[in-house]
Amino acid sequence: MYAGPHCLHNNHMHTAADDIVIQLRDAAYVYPRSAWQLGPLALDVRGTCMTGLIGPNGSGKSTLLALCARHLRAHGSVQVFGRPAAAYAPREWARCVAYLPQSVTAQFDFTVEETVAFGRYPHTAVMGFLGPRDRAVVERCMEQTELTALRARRLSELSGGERQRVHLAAVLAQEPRLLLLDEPATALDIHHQIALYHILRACTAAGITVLLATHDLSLAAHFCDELVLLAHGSIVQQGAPADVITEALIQRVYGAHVRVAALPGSPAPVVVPA
Amino acid sequence: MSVQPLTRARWLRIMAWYTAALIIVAAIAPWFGATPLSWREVWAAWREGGGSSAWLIFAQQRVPRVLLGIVVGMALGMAGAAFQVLLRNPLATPYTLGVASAGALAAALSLVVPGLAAGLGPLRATQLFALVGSAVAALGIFALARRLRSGSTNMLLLSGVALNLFCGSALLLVRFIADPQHLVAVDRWLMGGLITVGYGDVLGMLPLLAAGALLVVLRMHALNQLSFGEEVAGARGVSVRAVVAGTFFGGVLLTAGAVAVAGPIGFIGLIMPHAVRLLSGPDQRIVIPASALLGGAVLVLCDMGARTVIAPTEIPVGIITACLGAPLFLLLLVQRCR
Repeated sequence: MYAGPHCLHNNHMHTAADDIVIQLRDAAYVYPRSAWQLGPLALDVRGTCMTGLIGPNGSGKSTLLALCARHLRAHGSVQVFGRPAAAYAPREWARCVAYLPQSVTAQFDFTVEETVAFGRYPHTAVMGFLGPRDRAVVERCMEQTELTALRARRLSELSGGERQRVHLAAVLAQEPRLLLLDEPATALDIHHQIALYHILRACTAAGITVLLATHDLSLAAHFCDELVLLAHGSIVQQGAPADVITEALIQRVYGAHVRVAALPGSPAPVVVPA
Repeated sequence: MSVQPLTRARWLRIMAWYTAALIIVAAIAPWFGATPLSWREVWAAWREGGGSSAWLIFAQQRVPRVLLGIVVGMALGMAGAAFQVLLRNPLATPYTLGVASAGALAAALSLVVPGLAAGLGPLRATQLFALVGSAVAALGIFALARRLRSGSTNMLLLSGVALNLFCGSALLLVRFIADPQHLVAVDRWLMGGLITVGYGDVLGMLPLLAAGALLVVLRMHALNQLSFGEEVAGARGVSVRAVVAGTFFGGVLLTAGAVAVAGPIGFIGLIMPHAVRLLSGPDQRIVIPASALLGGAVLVLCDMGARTVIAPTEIPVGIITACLGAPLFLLLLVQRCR
């Protein structure tokens, strides 16, 4: 399952766990003609770690990710790798930071391999033809996401989960130092959910920082180094999974009756209905 | 249709096929028309230094007309491909945004208002007015979309529909008020045609069309990214606003130039991108240039038909493109889906 630390290959600056990769200060976002607001909030995301964003629907997970991905322009300061996010040139940014939105719709019926290869955009020239190294990266990313056998299939012939893996592979092919993923596991079966988290752990082992939004609290608790719990556009709690996923907090924030249990031999909390 | 990422070798091979098709059509077309021409006659006339009627027909009518057909067909094919991906809509044509309607309205005005029949440099009055009308409409639409920003492609489409309707009614008003003796000229212009003498029309419009084509061609691979949505494209390092603006104005230049010189010829802009996608796949690096090459070939072929079907009378080529284009396209679709 672990496909090796290929992601490091392109990283000239090494990221260490002590580094703060994303730093938000007084970051806020207001949608036009809407009373809902994210922040203002402060957030530090540590390097080479996997950080999970959790919280109920509409708590601001996607908006927060979109601010970090500079898809939305925040009020306040968003620093990535110690530089204001807005200061990066577009292609330079895309070589550092990759972002997978919640839903990706393809207008045309490309094949799996073509779609993954499009992830090489920031590394190729104006016509986007792939060099030998680009082709090797595409090959590796398809292998990692178990898509090699599907490489010639068209997007319309795939299931929702397979398609999600294709878009993930394209994001990996970007060879970023920071991965921002909005609910990447939603359409996946349990095998591929776990496989996804293993891929992401391989990425962090290779020096990549991962920030992802998810609804699966147990899987997030198991695989993430740190969790950030959001509610109504603010951060309620940030810390190790065991400190964030507590019965009291989950019941208060989600309004759901749950029990938080521990499995023998595992430090990660498991969430079950009360 | 290949399933692997595009390589330079395959790109060149595909372009060579489409270019060959265009060259073959262009080489055949001048020999057909109301007056029969044999290559012996033309060759002999050329050896004598020109001047004979055969040579005049060949060099001053047939060849310029084929060249104009190539240029206009290429412009419409490329503009159609660009607008289909830009507006994320397979039904988009060069005329969807109403830019051409505004040009047509202005051109009709120049035909019915006697005082407006003034050209400028190499441009005739209808050409000048069509260009100005298109430019005003394009700037207006772009400013509107800028202000609306989010979800701008839908807003662009809707404002284009509104502009089309407005220009359509305004055109009816112009025709209603106009002196009936001018109406034939307006009708003929609106049917679209490649009637030209000499090389003035082609050369006059070429800089404009070349600029438009360059704006689009430089952004082909960025448009591939844009076809996955603005969010994905932006995250991959595409300067979304610059690409949208560049493609928009490129498509507008191509459309406005083609319409100014040949009137609103239909179907090429809608069908060529679809045909190329069916034949060679959806990669924009192929679709955009191949739609242009195929558009040129098909328009020249249709114009050959327009000159010969009921010779010595000519049918406006816009009628031929629609009559032939629709069934051929359906045939292609059916074969593909079987």
